[in-house]
Amino acid sequence: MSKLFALALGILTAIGGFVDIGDLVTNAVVGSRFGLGLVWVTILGVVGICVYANMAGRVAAVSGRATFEIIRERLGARAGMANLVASFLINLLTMCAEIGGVALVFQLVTGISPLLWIPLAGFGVWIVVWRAKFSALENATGLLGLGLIAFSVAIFLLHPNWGQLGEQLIPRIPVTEDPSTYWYYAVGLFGAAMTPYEVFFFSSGGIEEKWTAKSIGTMRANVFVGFPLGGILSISIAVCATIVLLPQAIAVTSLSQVALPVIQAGGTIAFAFLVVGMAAAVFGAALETTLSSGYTIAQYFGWSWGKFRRPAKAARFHLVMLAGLIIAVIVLMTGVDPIAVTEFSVVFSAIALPLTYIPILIVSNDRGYMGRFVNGRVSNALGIVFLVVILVASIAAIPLMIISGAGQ
Amino acid sequence: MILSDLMRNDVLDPSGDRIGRVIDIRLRLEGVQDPSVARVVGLVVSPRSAASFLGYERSDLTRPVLLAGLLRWMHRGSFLVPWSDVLRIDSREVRLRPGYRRESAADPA
Amino acid sequence: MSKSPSVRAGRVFDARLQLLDRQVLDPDGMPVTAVAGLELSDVPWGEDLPADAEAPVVTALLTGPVLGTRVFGGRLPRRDGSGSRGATSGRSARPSRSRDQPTRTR
Repeated sequence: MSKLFALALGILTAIGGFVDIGDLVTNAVVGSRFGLGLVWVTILGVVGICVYANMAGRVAAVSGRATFEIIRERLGARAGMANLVASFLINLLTMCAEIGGVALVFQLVTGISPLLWIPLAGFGVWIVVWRAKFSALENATGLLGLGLIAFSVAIFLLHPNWGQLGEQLIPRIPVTEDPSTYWYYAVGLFGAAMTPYEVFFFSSGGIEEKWTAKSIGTMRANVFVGFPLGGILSISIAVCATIVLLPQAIAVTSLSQVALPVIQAGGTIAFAFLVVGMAAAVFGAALETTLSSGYTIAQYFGWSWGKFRRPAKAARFHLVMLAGLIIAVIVLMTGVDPIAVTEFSVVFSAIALPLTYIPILIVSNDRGYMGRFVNGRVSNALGIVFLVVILVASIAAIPLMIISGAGQ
Repeated sequence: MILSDLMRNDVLDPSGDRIGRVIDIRLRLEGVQDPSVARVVGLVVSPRSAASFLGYERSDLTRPVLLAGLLRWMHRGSFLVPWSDVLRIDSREVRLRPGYRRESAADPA
Repeated sequence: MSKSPSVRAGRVFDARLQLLDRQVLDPDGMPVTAVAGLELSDVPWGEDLPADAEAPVVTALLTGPVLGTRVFGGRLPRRDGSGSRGATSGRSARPSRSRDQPTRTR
């Protein structure tokens, strides 16, 4: 029974932890401008993250090696360092977006400027990362993140014209939008769904929780049940925006537009659930990106890392995270718009995707690490298909950003 | 001498023609002493690319087929030169003795 | 302590492929560093090697500044003005075991 409970807990955590500020903002923006014409990208991204998270989780469980340890082993010191610098900076950008997101959620509730919330959010993340137990922080944010179900419930409460919604699912570029803008947001949505930190965190988290080959079953359930259900939450955000924001041509410039459809549908109670869900999801993602900044650097240099060690036994790991948080807070205090930071972070994530995913694909085929747990044919076929998609998204991202004027 | 002094150096045949670059050093553990000693067996030389094989030089790593094929192709023609056939080493080059041997660079493990 | 099969005598392995950039653990399994380079016993530098010379052996695993030379190129300052290069400016580590690779040297 307790085993079943653990399984259910893991899945629920995966669902609630799936959505972050990137998903919240990008899905709402896309829904408000393109309707459901880009839902296929989210579905593609969710399948992609399932394929690769499953590989990374299996590598962590079987070989006990986390992602960046593998990247340095396979790519060597120089290419590994280039990968580290790019991955760390993009993760830092995502960290800024998440901490800014926490501040935006508090602004939504209190009306007080995010600039006042940013240092507090940064401090909160630091305290939790330093003091809280790994499983506690993961489970608490994951379960409370389930409040985001308010988006899914709101769809039904809004009584949409289902036939009209269904027609919208056919991918097409609205006449009012430039094709480059459509594809720019397609890359952004894909980046938001497959953000590299999810893999750093997932595989390092597996080692934090001392996975072994026996944990593969549980890990698979989390990935193949939890992530797709999390993806449904993600799509629900876009559907809500399509029903309410698109017809009125409301642009998403803060979280209040993201929340508007839910408030319109379910009033105060739905809003309460939503706020708890958003706060937990975004704060959880802030924790995950912060941990990822420590994981990547410590794993490259071979330092001791992990929440399972006392901070004194992993001092450099904690120092990196503290430094990352300070930088993120300073960047945000310059007054940059957290929504804009988020939009850039998902596109840059798309650029960085191959850096993370190619080494995972290689190592999960290596019997030297994996023994009999190497990839099967299906994993490899899907892995290669997504590798091509990832490469295309990565290469197209910058040109699309320039041509579309970053989606203007 | 450290490993980096040898890695990526140009390899010249006895007549001074460049035949490739050092991409790895093969070692053998000798068990006479405890702890054992790792002694250099020879230099792995690639005539084409000094870039990483990403592990695909090993014969048991063949998947995904597309990646393995691509990386093997980039490094086709790699060979092992036994240490006894090395004549001279300096900062940039490794010169081989007349009549040097080209042995299989296939995965030792 | 008995030897792990990965460090049995007669095992042949490639330095870059199977030793470089591997995690080094202390006897309690605590990560120490990653292998950034190897120190080999000296050979005459820039002059012909005697035909019957013994092949060099690995004398230490290196970490520290030597990593910078692998990332950015260049080489560490020489220990002395003579032909052979020293590795004293890289910190050498003598771990008792690495995760799965032979690391017993010296």
